[in-house]
Amino acid sequence: MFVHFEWRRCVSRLKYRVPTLAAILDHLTAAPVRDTESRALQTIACRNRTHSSDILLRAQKPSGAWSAEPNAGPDNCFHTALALLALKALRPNDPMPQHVDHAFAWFDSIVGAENHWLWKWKFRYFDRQVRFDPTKTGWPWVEGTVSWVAPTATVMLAHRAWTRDSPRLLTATRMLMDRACPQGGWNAGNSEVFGVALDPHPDFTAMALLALHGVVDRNQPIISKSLDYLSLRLRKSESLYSLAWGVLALDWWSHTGSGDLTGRLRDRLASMDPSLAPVRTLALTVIACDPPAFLKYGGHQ
Amino acid sequence: MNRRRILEGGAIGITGAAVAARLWPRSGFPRRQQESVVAILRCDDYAACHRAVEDGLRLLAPSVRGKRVLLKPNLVEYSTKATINTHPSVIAATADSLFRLGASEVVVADGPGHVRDSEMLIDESGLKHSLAEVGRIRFVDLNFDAVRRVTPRGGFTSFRELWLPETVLAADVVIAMPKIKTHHWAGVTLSLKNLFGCIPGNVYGWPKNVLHWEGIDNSVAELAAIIPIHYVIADGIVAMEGNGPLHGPSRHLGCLVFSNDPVAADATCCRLMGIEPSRVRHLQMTAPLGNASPERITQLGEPVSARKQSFVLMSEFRHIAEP
Repeated sequence: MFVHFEWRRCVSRLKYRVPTLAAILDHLTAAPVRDTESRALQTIACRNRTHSSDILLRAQKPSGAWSAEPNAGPDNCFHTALALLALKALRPNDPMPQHVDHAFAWFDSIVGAENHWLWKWKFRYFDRQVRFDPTKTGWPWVEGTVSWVAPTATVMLAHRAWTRDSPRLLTATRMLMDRACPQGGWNAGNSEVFGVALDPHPDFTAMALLALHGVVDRNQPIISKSLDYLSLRLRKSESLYSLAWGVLALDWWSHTGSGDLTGRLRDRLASMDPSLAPVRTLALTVIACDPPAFLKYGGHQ
Repeated sequence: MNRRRILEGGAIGITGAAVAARLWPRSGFPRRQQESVVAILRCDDYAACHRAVEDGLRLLAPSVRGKRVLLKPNLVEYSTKATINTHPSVIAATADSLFRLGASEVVVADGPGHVRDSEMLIDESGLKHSLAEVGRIRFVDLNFDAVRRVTPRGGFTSFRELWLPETVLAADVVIAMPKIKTHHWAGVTLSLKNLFGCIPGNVYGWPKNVLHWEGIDNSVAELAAIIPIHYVIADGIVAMEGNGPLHGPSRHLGCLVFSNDPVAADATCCRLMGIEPSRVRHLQMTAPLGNASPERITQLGEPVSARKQSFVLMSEFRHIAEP
């Protein structure tokens, strides 16, 4: 709680010290975007200024999914989850049942390819170079491929935001726990290949931690090691994008390392030229400064 | 022979034909007519690579005046424990030399397969700093570039369409800059396998798992049929053997390899590693695109034998070693 309060104070201080946050929000609101991820994050970041969901809704495909860009590329679980989060940010009290139901129905129809009996059998008994349990399945990036950390985590977040239940959330949780790196943290979704432990990445680690918050006990070794990894790793990084994801996750889990890192994020935000940063990075930074409650607790809060 | 036997025989035949077509797809390449040039230049240290790059480009004489040149290095992820990526000094030296040769624009572009945060990767690997020192060079993250639909015509995969980065498709000249490495799924990763970095993660995800499901070798061939590699500059100063592309030990090969043909470049790099190129499946499949045979390669600089070593191979790929 203290960390959260501290951070809110930082944001309001920024607002009056320099035109930073206001200028960044002005820039973000007007910034042209092409891809769904940028559009969704921009919408969440500027949720108190923008009220139209038309562009996002127009980009929804007949399948119910979103792709990386409107009319470009295959249906994509990650982008669909981000679009749903953005729609929730725009209209927290509006059920928007038709579009949202359609998207969640699409999620129900998409499952990691490892879930097929043939591949389950293959990965279990023959193809053992990549260590993972094929019975623990989540969501793939695109249809016809196996489950990965980022789409699984964001689809879980979308379910939480819209307070949707699904029996698949339990297996998705198990899948994330199974894919964690032995040393803590997550990469795209391969923890060990040919007997070698792969390195985790801050952004995927943060996404998994956000999805598991409130679902898995923080005393689980995977969680505590991952929080420590994230906190330490971000101290050595200059990347705003990873820092923003990391601050969101560490703040949610109230990790002791989050205070310093939120300070660094604040400083970076205060000194940056918004026109030089990609919209998705800028928007994510603003979201990390002022996360919407529905992300953390679900729409009922 | 009854009707049941005929039906069974027919089913087995059709299944066999489908499997064979999958394993040995037809070649979708126009066969390269002209001979190829490969230059192997000794270079023991990255601090001295600028001179070697200039010499190599002089031998290769690439046609870049007034053109937009795209350098496609191999950027996978950064680790202090392994030499994974094309070294920043080689990339920066190449960009600098291309400006001197009259290139109107030089773009360094890649879409790392495991990493969403390319900013972190180019910062921590030192590439950002090296490019800033040269100046005028833009880095494009191909994972997030604008995309254009392309219809694959190679027939190597089941893709009906591929969404590829505009920056790659709009380049006048594409120079592949792989790190010479062995690879635990593909045998080797050189200029042709390096094309995986042109698949936008924002569209297909991290890693580019759609390519794995189509078969790595098939996907390499499909991409090679779409994206022309005009020149290759391969970083073999410090290469990787064994469990590449991430966890193999470093191997000092002490050279840079230049070519105007990706097949000739990759075949030569294989020979430098003690690997028989005709045993590498994606090189078999892409062979018509260039010249793998030494008889059709004009060899400049040092001969292969001067720098050749025997790289350690994963047990799954021992069969690709030269006899």
